Amino acid sequence: MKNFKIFKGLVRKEFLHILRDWRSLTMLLGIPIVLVLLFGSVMTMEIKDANIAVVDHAKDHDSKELINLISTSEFFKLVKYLDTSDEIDEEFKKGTIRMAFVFDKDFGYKLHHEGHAQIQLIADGSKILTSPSLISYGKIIINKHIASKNPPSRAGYYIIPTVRMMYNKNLNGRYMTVPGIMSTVILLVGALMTSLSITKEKELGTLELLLSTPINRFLIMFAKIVPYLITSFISALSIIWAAKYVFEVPVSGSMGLLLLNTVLYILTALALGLLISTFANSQLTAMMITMTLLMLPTEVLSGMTFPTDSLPVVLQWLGKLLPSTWFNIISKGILLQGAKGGSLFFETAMLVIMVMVFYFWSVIRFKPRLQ
Amino acid sequence: MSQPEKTYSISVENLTKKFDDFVAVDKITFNVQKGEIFGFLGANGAGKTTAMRMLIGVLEPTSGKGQVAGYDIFKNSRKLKKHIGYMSQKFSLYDDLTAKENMRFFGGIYGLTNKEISSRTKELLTHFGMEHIEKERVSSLPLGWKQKLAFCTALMHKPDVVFLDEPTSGVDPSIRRQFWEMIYETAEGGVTVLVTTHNMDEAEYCHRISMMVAGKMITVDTPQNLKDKYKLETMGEVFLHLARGYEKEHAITAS
Repeated sequence: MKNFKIFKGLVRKEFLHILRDWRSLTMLLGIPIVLVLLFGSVMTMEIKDANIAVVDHAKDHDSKELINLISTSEFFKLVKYLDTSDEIDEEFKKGTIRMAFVFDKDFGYKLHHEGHAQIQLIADGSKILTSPSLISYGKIIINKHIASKNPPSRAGYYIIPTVRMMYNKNLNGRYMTVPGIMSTVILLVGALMTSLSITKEKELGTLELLLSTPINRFLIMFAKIVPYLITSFISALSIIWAAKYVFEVPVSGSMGLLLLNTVLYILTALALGLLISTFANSQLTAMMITMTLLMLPTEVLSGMTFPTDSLPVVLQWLGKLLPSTWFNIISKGILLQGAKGGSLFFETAMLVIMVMVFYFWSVIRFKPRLQ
Repeated sequence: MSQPEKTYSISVENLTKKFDDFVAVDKITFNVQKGEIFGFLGANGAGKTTAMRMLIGVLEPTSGKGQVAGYDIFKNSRKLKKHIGYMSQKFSLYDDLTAKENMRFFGGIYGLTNKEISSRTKELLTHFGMEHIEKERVSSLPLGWKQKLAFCTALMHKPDVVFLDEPTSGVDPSIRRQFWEMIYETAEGGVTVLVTTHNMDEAEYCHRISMMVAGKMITVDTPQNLKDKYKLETMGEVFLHLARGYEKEHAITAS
C-alpha cells in the first residue's frame, strides 16, 4: 500500500515531465502518425496504371487489337507511341515509362501464317520490386488474348493459369507497408522514450539523488513505463486509424485482439528502452544505440520491406530476436488474414517472453549502487 | 527492534575505496557526534565526494567499517537511506517541476503522507523564508535559491544526518551566508551535518573539520585548535601548510 503510494508519486512526476516538455509530447503523439502517413504514401509497391510505351513495327490489325487490350487494362496506361526501340532507353531514363512493349514487323502476318510471332516486353531491371510483376501482368494479358483467339480444336489442348493473390488480391502495397511501418515506428519511439528518460536523469544527477533514497529500484523503472504506455497507445491508435481510414487497409480480424497485441508490443518496446538505458550513460549514447540497434535491423530483418525467406539463415535468426518481426506477423495476420488469437499464439508468446527478459534484465543491470 | 548503539551519528574506521589500482579514499577514520557540523576540506579530487557517496549508501566501500545514523553502511544501506538526507554536488532537483512539486515528490518517496508532505513543505519554506518560490518552476530560480531549495528537500523526511556535497559552490556570498545560517539552524535542531567544501572560509564555520589530501585524512580537529596549533591566522593557511607538509613527506618516502 505504501509502495503503491510511492509508485503513484513517481508516475505523477513522469507525467509532469511529459506534459511540460512539448518536444517529447510532439515526438510521442505527432511523429508516429506523420511517419506512417509519409511512408505509407511513398513506400508503395502496388501496380496500377503503370506508364508504358509501345513500339509498333507492324501496325496491323492484330497488333492494334492487343495494344488496345493492354492499354485498357487497369495495370497499364499507354503514354507514348515510339518509332524505334532506341527511343525506349531514353524514356526509361527520363522516367516517363516503367515498361515498353515492342511488336515485331509483320506481327499479324507471322501469327497467322507461321503460327508464332514476337512481342518484346522491356522493363527496368533496377526496380526489382515492381518490374517482375509488370512483366507477368503483361504476359497474362497476352496469353489470355492468344487463348481467346485459338479455339481448343485447333490448338489441341492448352492451359490458362489464373493467378490469384490471397489476402491482398490487388497486390495493394500499402496493405503490406503500413503494418510494417507501424511496427517500426512504435518500437523506435517507445524504446527511445524510456531510454532517454532514464539517461536524462543520469545526466542531470537526479538519478543519484533517487538512489540515495530508500526507494525500490523496481518502482523507479516500472514508473517509467506507465506514462509512456498510455501515450504510446494513443499514438498507436492514431496509426491504426490512419491504416484503416486513410490507407484503407482492411481489418479482417478482431480489432480487440489487434489492440491487445499492440499494448503487448508497446510494453516490449518500452522495456527494451529501459534495457538500453542501463548500457548508456548519456542521452546521446542512448539515442545512438537505439537507432543503430533498431532502425535498420527492423527495416531489413523483420520482414517489413523484404521477405525474410530470402535472407541468409544467420540474418533470419537475428531477425527473430527483434520484437518487430513477431509483431509484423501478428499485425499482418490480424489485419489481412483475419487470423484468430489461437493461430498467433506462438508469436504472442514470443513477445511476452521478450517483455519479461528485457524488463528483468534491465532491473538486474540497474544497480541500486553506483559503481 | 535491536539497534546498534547510537553514541555517534557517524562512525567510520579505515574506510577505503579503490577503483582498480587507484585508491580514491585511503583508510579514513573519524567519528561525528549528533548535531555536529563536520566538514570535509580538500582540493578537488581529494576523495571527499567518494567518501560521502560511501556514507550515503550509493557506493560500495572496498574495505573498512562504517555506521551512519546507527546503521551499518555495508549491511543496512537500505534502512540507512531512510534516515539521511543528501544534496549532491551537481544541482539535482527536477528543473521542470515547481519547488513545491519537487518537495512533494521527494517527500512521497520517503513514504510521507500527503498531510505530512504539505505541513512539512510549508514549515520548511516558511522557516527559511522561501514561501514565495513555492509555485515557481525550479528552472527559473537563481542558483543560490535552487541550492536552498535542494537543502529543504533533503530535510523533508526529518533525517538524522544530512550530507551536503559542495552545497555553496558557485553561489554568491550573501546567499552563501544565508545557506550557512540554514545549516546552523538545522544542526541546532539535533541534525548532524556533514559538508564537503574546498572553500577555506567555509571551513571556519564548521564545528570540526577533517582535511583530505590524495584520499587520506591528514587531520581532524576544530578550526580554532588547528589555527592555534600551527600559529596561523586562517584555515586557508593551515590547509596549505598541512597539504604541503604532507606532500613533501610523501615525496621523500616515495623516492
